[in-house]
Amino acid sequence: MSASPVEENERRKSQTADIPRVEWLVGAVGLMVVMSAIGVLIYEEVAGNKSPPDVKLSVEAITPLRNGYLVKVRAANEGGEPAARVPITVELRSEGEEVETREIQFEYLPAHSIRDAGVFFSADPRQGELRLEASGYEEP
Amino acid sequence: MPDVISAQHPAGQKPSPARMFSVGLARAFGGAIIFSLPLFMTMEMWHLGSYMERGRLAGLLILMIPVLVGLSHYCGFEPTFEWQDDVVDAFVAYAVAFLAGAVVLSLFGELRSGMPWEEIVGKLALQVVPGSVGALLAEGQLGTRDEHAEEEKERCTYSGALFLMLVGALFLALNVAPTEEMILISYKMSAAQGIALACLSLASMHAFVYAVEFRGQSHIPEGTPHWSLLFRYTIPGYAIALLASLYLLWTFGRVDGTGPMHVAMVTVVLGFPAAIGAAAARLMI
Repeated sequence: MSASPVEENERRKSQTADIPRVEWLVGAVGLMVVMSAIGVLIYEEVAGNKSPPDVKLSVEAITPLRNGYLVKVRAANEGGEPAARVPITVELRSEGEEVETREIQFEYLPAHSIRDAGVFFSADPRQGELRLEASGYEEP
Repeated sequence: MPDVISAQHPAGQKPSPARMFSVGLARAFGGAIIFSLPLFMTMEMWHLGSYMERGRLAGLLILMIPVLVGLSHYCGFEPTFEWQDDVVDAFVAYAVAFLAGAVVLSLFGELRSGMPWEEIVGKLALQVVPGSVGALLAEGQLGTRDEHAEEEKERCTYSGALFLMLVGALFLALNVAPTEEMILISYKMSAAQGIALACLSLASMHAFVYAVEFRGQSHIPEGTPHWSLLFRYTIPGYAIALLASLYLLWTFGRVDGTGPMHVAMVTVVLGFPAAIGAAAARLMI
């Protein structure tokens, strides 16, 4: 039990040298993976964007279906905070008149993320004008 | 019953290989049900089975083949010596889990006649993943084995340790990955809480790694400094847990179109059970 510090050090050194190089390599790769995950969180904590949810809505595509039309809607949250249960109103207008109104809801819109949804219309949305509006959100 | 007992009793009359195999099958069936019960009763699993992207589901099933073969190598229905036996065992585990899933999901009314076959196959295929792990482990957990010595040596190699950590991470993460709660928890957490959770995961893993060494199950020589264990076992183990989590989240379509901050957050959230599973696997399997 009374190994001198020098002997103890020598013993450790020889053990460290016994460890195959591949184990150190795996350790290094592992450290990189772990640090990249933690790094993103640290960046977010230190320099992250804390702005409120900012939902940008756009129409991605209009597809005729058997009876009616499908409008693909994309919601992009460009704010720094997530939004939950975001109701979206899609209004089809023609010559200043409201023709049809549809409502959908996005369950979650994380920060800097996009989510897609579809809305059905019976009139052809290509003949009119589509108006999209997000009316609010819940904090998750 | 005496037959079953003699199957475990090397001293008694040697049972026929067919008898041993059927006892193994029965155990595997039980194991498949025990390990996939929580997921049989998880709503999201039924939904994911019917709508998740087919290519990703197929990818998960294919990835499970080498995992099961490897697992069979360490502990399976039968003491195996050849890799062919391990491959056969892996597919038998798949088949048993498929059967168990079909029985249980039909009883729950989740599989009905008149359902499109794509939906039936999707729901079953997803349940086969945890069930097959259970089927393979059943022998290791419930039965007795004679061939322990050689395996103990093998599973103590560095690559064996990393492989067992991968299996543990995949298995425990899979039990919670399909649920909505993973997403919800990640939204409720701040980045600072995420960093703290990552540190807690690392600390818990390191405690397990240390415990494995303490029980003398590993080939690590006595007196190895802590930082060396941390760097060679804990950190790669946590990296495996994070990658397994990210893979499962991607497979279930939970990170599509999502910003890097939330991907990192939800990976760390799922990485917590994955890390515990990875670390505990080396103690339990």
